[in-house]
Amino acid sequence: MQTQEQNQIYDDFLCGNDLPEHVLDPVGFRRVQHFNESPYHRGTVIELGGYGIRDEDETAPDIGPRQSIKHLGGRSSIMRVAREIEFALIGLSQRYFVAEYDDPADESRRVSIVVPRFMTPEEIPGKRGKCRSGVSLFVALKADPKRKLYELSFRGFNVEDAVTVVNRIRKLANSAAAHIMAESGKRVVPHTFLVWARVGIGESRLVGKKEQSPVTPPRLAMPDDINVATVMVSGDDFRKFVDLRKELDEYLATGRYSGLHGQALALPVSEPAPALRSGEIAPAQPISEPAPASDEQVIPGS
Amino acid sequence: MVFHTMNDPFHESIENAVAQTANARTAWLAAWEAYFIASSELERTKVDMITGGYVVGKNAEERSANLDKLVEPQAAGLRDATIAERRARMVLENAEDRLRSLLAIAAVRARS
Repeated sequence: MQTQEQNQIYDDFLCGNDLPEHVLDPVGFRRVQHFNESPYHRGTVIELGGYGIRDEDETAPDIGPRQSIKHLGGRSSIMRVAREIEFALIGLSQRYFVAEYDDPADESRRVSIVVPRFMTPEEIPGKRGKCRSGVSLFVALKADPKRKLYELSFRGFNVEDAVTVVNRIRKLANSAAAHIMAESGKRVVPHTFLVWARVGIGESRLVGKKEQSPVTPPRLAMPDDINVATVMVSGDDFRKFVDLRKELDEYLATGRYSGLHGQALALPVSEPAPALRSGEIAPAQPISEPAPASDEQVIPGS
Repeated sequence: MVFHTMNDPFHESIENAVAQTANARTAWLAAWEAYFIASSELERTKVDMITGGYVVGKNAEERSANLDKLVEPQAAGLRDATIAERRARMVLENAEDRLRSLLAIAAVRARS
């Protein structure tokens, strides 16, 4: 029975982002959370999977209704939730791995760090060690008129589907660049943020031991033959997105996702890591005390 | 040598064939550009997938298969662009064949 329960927890871990926010790695950007289908979400919009943004302070953009969402472990959050979200893809991280384990100094505390490669449970230096891959998409939500950066992470079994969605958006951006070329004669770089991408969820599939845990992969909710002119961003938005891309490049250059700096993710970081030039070593983040809250890029409630 | 007047239907058909060939050449150039861009995009995406660490697998064959799966949207784009380029090239070759035929007939007429 215990083994079955452990298997279930491990399956949830492998396939899911359905974890309470405090065990997810906090970042400098506000998070859009992807949800797999789960009995925890019965009666909510995301019963069959979807997306959510924590909204305790009622500042989250209106992607859908505000509902109380229960997480694994029993905690609940007030979130804006939707089955589909529309965003401009500003960029994405490389594929990374997240190792989680009980802190040997304080076993009631769970540590979560980015590591440069997959680690087996035996290699992880604490009890209940687990490792899974991840990828983070950095997006500007259409529902947020402030055009801030949000992080949308996918873990485990959903990573490849998320990357396929990215490549579909890249193809759409190429069509947009070809459209601009045909209309104006101007050749433009096919940035992925040339278009608003509508991303929903696909059909759930069962994974894990005995295939009992559903994962609900992301899917581009737009037809292949869509008239690309109808989904292109405005000139003002495009200029903002170029600035966001520069901001993001500086953020990614800190090596947060390379796993080379032992970046601890267990405690909240309220501000984005300082931007460093390529080649510089990121200073160690103080993990005992979260940085003071910034007005702009704070995870509410964290 | 006999020169045909502007009102000569044969002369008109040569002019039409010249115009059709020019149009077909322009269309083929656009299709070739689209093919070239799609081909470059596929290669660029493959490089990004590999350097970003998104391609995983136990061995080279599995990694290759996973890479093909990831870049399927770009591969589909290249397939479409290749077909469009071949069709445009066929239209151009047909137009050139027609123009060559008409010019050959014109040359025979001129000699007679």
